[in-house]
Amino acid sequence: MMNDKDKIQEIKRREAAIRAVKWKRQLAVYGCSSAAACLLLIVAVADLFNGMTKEGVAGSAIKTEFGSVFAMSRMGALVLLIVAAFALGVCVTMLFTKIHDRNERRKKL
Amino acid sequence: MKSDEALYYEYLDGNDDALGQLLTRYEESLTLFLYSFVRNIDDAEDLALDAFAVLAASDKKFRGLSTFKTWLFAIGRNQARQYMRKARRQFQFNDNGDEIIDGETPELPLLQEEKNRQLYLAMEKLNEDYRRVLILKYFQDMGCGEMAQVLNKSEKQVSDLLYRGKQALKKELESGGFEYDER
Repeated sequence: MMNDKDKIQEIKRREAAIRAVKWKRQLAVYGCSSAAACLLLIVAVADLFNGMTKEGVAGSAIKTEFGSVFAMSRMGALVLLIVAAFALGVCVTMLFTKIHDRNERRKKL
Repeated sequence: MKSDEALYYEYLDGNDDALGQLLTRYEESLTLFLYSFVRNIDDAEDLALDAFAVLAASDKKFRGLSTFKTWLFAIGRNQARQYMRKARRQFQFNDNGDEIIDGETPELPLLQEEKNRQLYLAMEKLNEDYRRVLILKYFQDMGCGEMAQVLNKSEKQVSDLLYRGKQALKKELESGGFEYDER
């Protein structure tokens, strides 16, 4: 039979477990959404540069055969982009984690 | 005496004694309510602690749309439902209450009083929906609105259940040689 003190400790332990699960879930959402956002950004930027380099600078002699990674090998470029987006997503997620941890520390203080 | 809401916010601000006071106020009655779902006193006690943990982890989500007690009991009900879904057990008792050993009640101080014990024993023989409504009515003194929030039913449904539950309880008590006193 638990006394009140034990019960409070038990509740706090369960509370911490619930918070940990919530945080993991939140982190997964942050990770996925930041990776998706980064992928979108990289694709958009790559596409923009692709258009610019293909057209060249108007009125100049500059001409580029392979102005973008997309022009060389589409599959290779996609793989590169996905890896880059994933890495960027990881960085953003780590940043969120650090911010969260700092906020938690501040709360405790 | 501090309100439940004030104690809850005190606990969120780091005062463990406030949680202790909330436990003293509601643990027993919540356990009795949860027992009506899971039919096992150890599980009911465990679920009551779970309900308090969920409450503590909910970060000021209490917006005052209902009373604190209603909110706590609604959390408890959700915990019990989740537990039952996970365990895939059949807790429903048949209408004759065959599984109830005569005279056996959960060992809760609330049921130590003879009158409460007899009332609870009579409730045990009723349909589970009647029993839950009657526990909230007689052991928690809740109104139809509060019961509707806790049980996630409409007020009309709760008031019908309460009426029929009272009729069934009256019949049960009178068949046991007791007098039913409409409170």
